[in-house]
Amino acid sequence: MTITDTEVTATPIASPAPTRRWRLWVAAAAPLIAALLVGSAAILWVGESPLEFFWLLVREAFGGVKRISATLVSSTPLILTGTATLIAFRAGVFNIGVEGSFVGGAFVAAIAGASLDLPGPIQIVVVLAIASIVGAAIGWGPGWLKARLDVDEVVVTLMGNFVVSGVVGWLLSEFFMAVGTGNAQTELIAPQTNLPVLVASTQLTIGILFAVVVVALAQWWLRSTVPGYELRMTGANPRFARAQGIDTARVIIWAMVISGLIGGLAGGVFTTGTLHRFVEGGGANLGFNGIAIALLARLNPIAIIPSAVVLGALSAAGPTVQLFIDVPLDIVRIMEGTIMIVAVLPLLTRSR
Amino acid sequence: MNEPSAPADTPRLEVRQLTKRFGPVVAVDHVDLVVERGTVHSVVGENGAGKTTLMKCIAGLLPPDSGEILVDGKTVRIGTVHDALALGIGMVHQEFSIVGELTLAENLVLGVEPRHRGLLDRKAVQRATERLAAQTGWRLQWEAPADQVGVADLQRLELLRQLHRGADLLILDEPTAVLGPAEVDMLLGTVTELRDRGVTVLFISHKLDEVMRISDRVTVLRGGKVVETTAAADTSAAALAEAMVGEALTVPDVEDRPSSSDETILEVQDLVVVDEIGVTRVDHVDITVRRGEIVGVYGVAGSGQAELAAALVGLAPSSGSVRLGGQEINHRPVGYRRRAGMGFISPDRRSEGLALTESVEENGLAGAHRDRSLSGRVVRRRPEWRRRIADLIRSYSIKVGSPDDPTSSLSGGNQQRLVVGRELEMHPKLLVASDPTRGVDIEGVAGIHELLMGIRRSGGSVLLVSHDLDEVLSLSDRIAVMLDGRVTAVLDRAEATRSLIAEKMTTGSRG
Repeated sequence: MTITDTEVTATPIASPAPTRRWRLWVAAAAPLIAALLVGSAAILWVGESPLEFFWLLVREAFGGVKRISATLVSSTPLILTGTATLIAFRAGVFNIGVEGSFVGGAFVAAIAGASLDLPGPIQIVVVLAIASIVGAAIGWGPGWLKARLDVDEVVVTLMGNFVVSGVVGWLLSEFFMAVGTGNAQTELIAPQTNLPVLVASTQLTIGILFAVVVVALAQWWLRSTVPGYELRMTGANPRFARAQGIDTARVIIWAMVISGLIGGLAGGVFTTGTLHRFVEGGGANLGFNGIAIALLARLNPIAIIPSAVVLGALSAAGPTVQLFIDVPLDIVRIMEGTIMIVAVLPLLTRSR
Repeated sequence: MNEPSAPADTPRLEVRQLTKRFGPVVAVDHVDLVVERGTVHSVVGENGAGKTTLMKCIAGLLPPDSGEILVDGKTVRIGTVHDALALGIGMVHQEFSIVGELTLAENLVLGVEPRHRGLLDRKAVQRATERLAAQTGWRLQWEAPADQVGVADLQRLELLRQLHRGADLLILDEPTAVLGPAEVDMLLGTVTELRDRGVTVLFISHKLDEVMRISDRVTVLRGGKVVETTAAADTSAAALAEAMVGEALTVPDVEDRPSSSDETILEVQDLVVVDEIGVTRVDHVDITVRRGEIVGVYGVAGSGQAELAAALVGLAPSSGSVRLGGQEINHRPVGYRRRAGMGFISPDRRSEGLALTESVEENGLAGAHRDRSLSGRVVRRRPEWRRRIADLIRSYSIKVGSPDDPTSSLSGGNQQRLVVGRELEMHPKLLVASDPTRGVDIEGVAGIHELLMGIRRSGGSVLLVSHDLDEVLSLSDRIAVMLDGRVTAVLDRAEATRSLIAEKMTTGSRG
């Protein structure tokens, strides 16, 4: 430790609250505004009307029960991976590995769902529990390395994603390929493993309820519990946390375990609620997109839901909009990309 | 190097009545300074005496509020580092700014790369290194990557960089703070060699023996003002120390001090702290604090007192024995020590004492947050938190909008009162208070002193580590003086005079 001659610094005076709130709103809306501007420019470029396009987008995303259901189906895994990312980020741990937990969870849920045969709801609970535990284990490794050996978590989790998808791909092709298919996919899970459908003749399952409950739990846990408080203090200033007696190494490991657990659950819900089997490449990037969701929500749990719904709406409505207007699907992808880039900007400029 | 454009007897640098304020604090107060060409001129003073601020004004890093700077007899305005360099003034900071993967030669020219058709002109780089070698007589491994050479060579590289950019007045800001003893010797040799080759050096340090070894002249700053400027030959380390610590502003207040009890609260034996780069910062220290006693720890900055405090709290690994109320707590984590009754006021309020982005409430109850009165096993009792922070804000007169406001919205003095209040409300058996009044205005200082005396009156104990001798003298029952990581003397309040402390902090029992 080196003690430097710290000079007296001018005391900061808080800017008046209204200004700060106003700034907060602008910062929160910036990714959306940027996406609308970039999207409009691209649509004008191809010679169509942005207004008509956006109107169609809103109609296809939210016009009627079926459309809303489709949007929520797309949003469900994003809410969960966004929350998973948020927990780690709030602890000051830049976990890029929710993707790995998601893929691991999705895979083991498919294996367990196809090989177990327990009565109804118990089967679902057991399968999701297994997926969560595997996800948690995938988060634990980098957490332990960071907390005990000070290994950079960004590199480990990013590389860990490739390890997980490599291992899963190998297990799949070697042991778990569905019989009589050329695709890299597992057998369908047992029927009682499928999450109950919430709205008849749609794909919307109780998975969305799980997601909302997880968000509510995360909010409560961060705000109202002692471990949640210690996690936030560690993320805000680890030196301060340590000086106040918080075991920051433990906090970091637990943050990674919980982040991985929610990521694994997200994979489990995706398998049991959407694909009903594991397909290699299915659900790819849902874990990564959780980073954008968490940042779009400015690490506020409740804001995860609208953020995920916006991106879910784009990905659900995008493909059908082009049936009505001569605008390529790529425009929607451009808008998604813009949202993510602008949302991730603070992460890139953040001093770590 | 710059051609001297003035007669040889014109001072290389002259500062007249320079003043710099930060808010209400006057960091540099009408300072006059004359630096002759080709000399080593040291500026010494306690932490916060204004040394670094003054140097930053000269090097173009801070704009002075008033006063004049003359270079070679001409009044100049130094607004940027470039302005300073154009006048031949270069500042070398404590932390190296070196790219480990690049060679020494590449580091030398980094930022001012000679180019040939857009690429690095290797021949010009070589000419530069040869010219510097001729100028200084130093041989560096110019083609070695910087992360493979020793710290002393890196420090030389930093000096050469400034010379390469045309500086012939070097400002060295506590250059020895990061060095081990052998490297310190090398650096001091280096500085002398440069001086002999016509370079002017402004040397900032609190290490008085180093200052005595290399300086031609010495200026002592205290509280932002020049106390004295003398030829090094006419003074001694002890005399400088006395000038640094100054006359007593008030007669230490001996008031009603019932003798503290005989019960030992803290017993430290054979404590050793070695930092990450292998330098021994605390060297076999023994210290005891009794119930109802304030023990001051004093020494020039960097003598190991900050590391001692960090080790006691559990923030720096150490060997030896630390007993709190008879219970061995060394090798226990911070949380355990806090629960065992240790409180801590960090010297670094902004980066360790508080989480500035978080709310006043969450800062003010940190450390107590697991108390059964505030939280169950898992769930925090939020209404109880709200009540406790309201009490704390009231009891310690903290000016705050709402407990939910970020702590950064508080003024420095209010932030410090929040820290002190937080620690006192945990009723520690022993409070380790490290520079508890740093950056607090005079009124705030008196309030914090009163609180520390209050702990003593109610039978608590304080280990007061401070860079302010007045503070140490007026509050302490006993004073431990540190030098080079060792305790050179433990003086009773009655025998602790300024001159005795000045002697112990510079010579002590060094063999």
